[in-house]
Amino acid sequence: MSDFRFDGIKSFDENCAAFLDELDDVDPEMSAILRSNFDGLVSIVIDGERDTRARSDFNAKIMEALDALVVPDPEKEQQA
Amino acid sequence: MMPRYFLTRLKIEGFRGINNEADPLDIRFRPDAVNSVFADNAIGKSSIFEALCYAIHGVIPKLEMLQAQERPQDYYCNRFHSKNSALIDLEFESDDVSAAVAIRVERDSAGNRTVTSPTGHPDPNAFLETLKEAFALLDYRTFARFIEESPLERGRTFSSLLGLSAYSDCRQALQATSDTRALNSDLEHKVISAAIETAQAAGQRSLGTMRTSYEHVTGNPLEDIEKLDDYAANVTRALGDVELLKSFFDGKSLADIDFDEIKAAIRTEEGGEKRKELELAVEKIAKLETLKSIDKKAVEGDQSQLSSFIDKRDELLASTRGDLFKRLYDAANALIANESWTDDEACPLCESTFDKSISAHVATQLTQYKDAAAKTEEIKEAWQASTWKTFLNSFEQSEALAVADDQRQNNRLDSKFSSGDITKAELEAAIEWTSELAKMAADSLKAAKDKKAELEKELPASLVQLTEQVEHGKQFVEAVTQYRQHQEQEAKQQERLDIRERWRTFITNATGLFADAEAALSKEKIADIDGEYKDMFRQIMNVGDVIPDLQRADDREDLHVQLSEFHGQHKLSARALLSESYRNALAISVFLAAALKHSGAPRFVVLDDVTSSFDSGHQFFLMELIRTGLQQPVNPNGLQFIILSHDGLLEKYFDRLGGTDDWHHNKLQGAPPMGAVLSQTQGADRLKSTIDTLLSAGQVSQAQHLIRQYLEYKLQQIIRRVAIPVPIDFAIKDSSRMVSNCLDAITDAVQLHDRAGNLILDQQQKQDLNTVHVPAIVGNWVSHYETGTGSGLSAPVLAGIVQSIDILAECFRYDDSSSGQVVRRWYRSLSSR
Repeated sequence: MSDFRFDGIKSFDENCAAFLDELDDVDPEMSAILRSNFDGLVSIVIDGERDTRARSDFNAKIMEALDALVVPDPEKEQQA
Repeated sequence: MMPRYFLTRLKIEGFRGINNEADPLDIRFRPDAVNSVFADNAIGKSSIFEALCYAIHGVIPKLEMLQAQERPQDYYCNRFHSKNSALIDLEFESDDVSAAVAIRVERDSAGNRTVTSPTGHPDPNAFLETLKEAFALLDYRTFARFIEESPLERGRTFSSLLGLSAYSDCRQALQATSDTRALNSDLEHKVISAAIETAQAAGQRSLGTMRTSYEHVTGNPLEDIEKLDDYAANVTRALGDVELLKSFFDGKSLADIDFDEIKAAIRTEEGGEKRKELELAVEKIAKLETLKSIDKKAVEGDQSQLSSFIDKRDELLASTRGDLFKRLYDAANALIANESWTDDEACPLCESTFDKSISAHVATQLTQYKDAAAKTEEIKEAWQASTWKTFLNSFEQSEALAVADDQRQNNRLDSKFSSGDITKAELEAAIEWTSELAKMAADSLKAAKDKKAELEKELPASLVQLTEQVEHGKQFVEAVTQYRQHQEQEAKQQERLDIRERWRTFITNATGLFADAEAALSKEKIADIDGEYKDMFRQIMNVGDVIPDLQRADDREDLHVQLSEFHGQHKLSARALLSESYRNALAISVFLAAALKHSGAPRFVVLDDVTSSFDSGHQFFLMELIRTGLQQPVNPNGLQFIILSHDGLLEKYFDRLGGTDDWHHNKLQGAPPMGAVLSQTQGADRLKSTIDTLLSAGQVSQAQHLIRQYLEYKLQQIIRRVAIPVPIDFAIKDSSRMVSNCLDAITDAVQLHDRAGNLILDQQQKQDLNTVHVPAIVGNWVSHYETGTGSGLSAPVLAGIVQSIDILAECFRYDDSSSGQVVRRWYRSLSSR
């Protein structure tokens, strides 16, 4: 794992974007899934309070995305 | 550089405790001065903070924490406002040449929040988004718990003080999603693993059928499953070489062969009912032999394991005391966890004491329930993965056994095992039923074989054997198809499992990466404010030999607070040694140091009652620190401070500085939540006018507290303007007696100067003061309202008091004609103009 660091001058959103860019180098497909669902991730803990439902919803989206990678959408395949 | 904004005005109507229907509470703030807002308890100070919170964040955390059934949405708008709607107007001024921005936030009776900009800002919502910074609004709760919490919780609180709460939340979210248990459950690891096991088991059964059928058709064993295509070709060849069947196999692969057509052809060749019976017997034997491929020993092993699990579960359940007690222990556990009950050697129910730890007792009891629940889950999982379940399903569904629907038990057992309700007796009955099914299968197989033997005697041997071979050929083809389907299913599920493992590795690494980066950022911030917070702490506490030190763990969120110096001793626990004032001074020092370093859009900080636990001396030092070192423009990089307080002592400080160049003070008064709340800077005249209106309407009780505030305002105005000295305990005397405190200070000072012969008041003023106005106020107000012994007065008498105080104030003023025009001025002091 790299020596990735947040930049204290940048905003949280900017630093998160840099974090996701860094993850693109680790596993681009998984990183794309996390990027698409980052809003869902951020809503799992708000002001230190964990929301189990939000976590389940987030993981449900992740599961859907992972399964779509395993079993590609036939329509999309056809277009490709 | 993006502009930063000062808050210059706040207007509120119909929100929380502030009704002010058609007459909004209007408070102005100066960007170049410390702004204070004082209100007695229940006058609306918290509503101001909540209005800012709602305007900027869209929610009030206190209300959001309510249960849904308490309908928090019903408590945003003032419940006495006739339209049940709220309006919050905010005005901001930039710290550069950018235009001022006005934002209006409205909440309608249906709870809809709309944001507009009277100054035409193109995106008022986006503007408010930029103000969502941790430093803009700080309430007492957020920082007061700073030292008391565990290192982990403190680390989290500290993140918010440093403006890093979003990072802390995000890291916790990543940790939550990479938690093994959550991943296994949310991503259905067990379901997929079970599907793989099922496909594997079904594949093995198909393989068993293939082996039996292949051997029947070709007379050779099927040894290498990798050569399935070769074996299929062998079966085609063996059957295709038979003269009678040749035409059915020519040029076709095994999968394309129509075995029913072949069987019909053999029937035609031989003819007769017995031919058909033989076919059926052979088919039945083949199906029953497929059932034999299920491993009986594995079934017995499953039965034995489940039986022992149920015994253990029952044993564990017996050690608990039922559902009602579980609810009791859960409730006790919650009381202990949130520290509602702190006496660990007393029962929270009856409060009697005993000699063991209540928390340990509750934990032990709950562990027993947890163990029983875990065993129930184990039973469910063992059943789902069992060969026994497959056995029952296959036997009950088998056409060869023809088990009636009402006899089948697999679905019912599935439900019982899944819910954890299965009893030992039900398990034993299921074992018995399994034996019955096995016996039924054995009996059926024997009967089918006997029938076949009997028919074989009556039919030509060659065709009997051919029929059998064709049937096994058909079984082989079906088994190959099923085997390949199961293989495909297994591969697909394995792929799903593999990609989940890939996600697990990815998200775990991502969590580590984020946590490391966050820890580094946090450490960087701590290092960045190190000198500042220690210096602020020293100034607030006025000590040099107590030096706090924040230390963040390298790989965890924990934040430890040590005292690097404590009266000559070193590296001691801050929590153990620091008093509440010290602890809160440290928390506010850290917050202020971090806020000053921050450069987000809000250049204002609203502090809500942050000094509640400070003693008066430390409050003074904190306020002086803000006034002389942190407020802009005294500090060119400083902030605009808005301090909300209900502290009576602090109010005296606010009063003393209010109206000076570097301090702007507002005092709230009124009768919330039904009546209006007013800011004193909205004008003493407005206050007086309100009093007049109330007295004219005969609303004496509502006017009383406003009269007191008016008296206090006017008397303190005299004290400030004429520089009348007050006793050292003036500020800390009973604030409900402030009117007489002020009168005493004024009359004592007048007497002193009179006896010294240098009193500046003219004879008439002195006489009016001593013989008319002071006695009128003492007689009509102090004796009735401050002592609590007198009865209420009528509206005309109260109106007379208001008139008296105005005239009394005039005793300390004179007509100045030195500039050629007559100007009414205050005496400079009691001895000079």
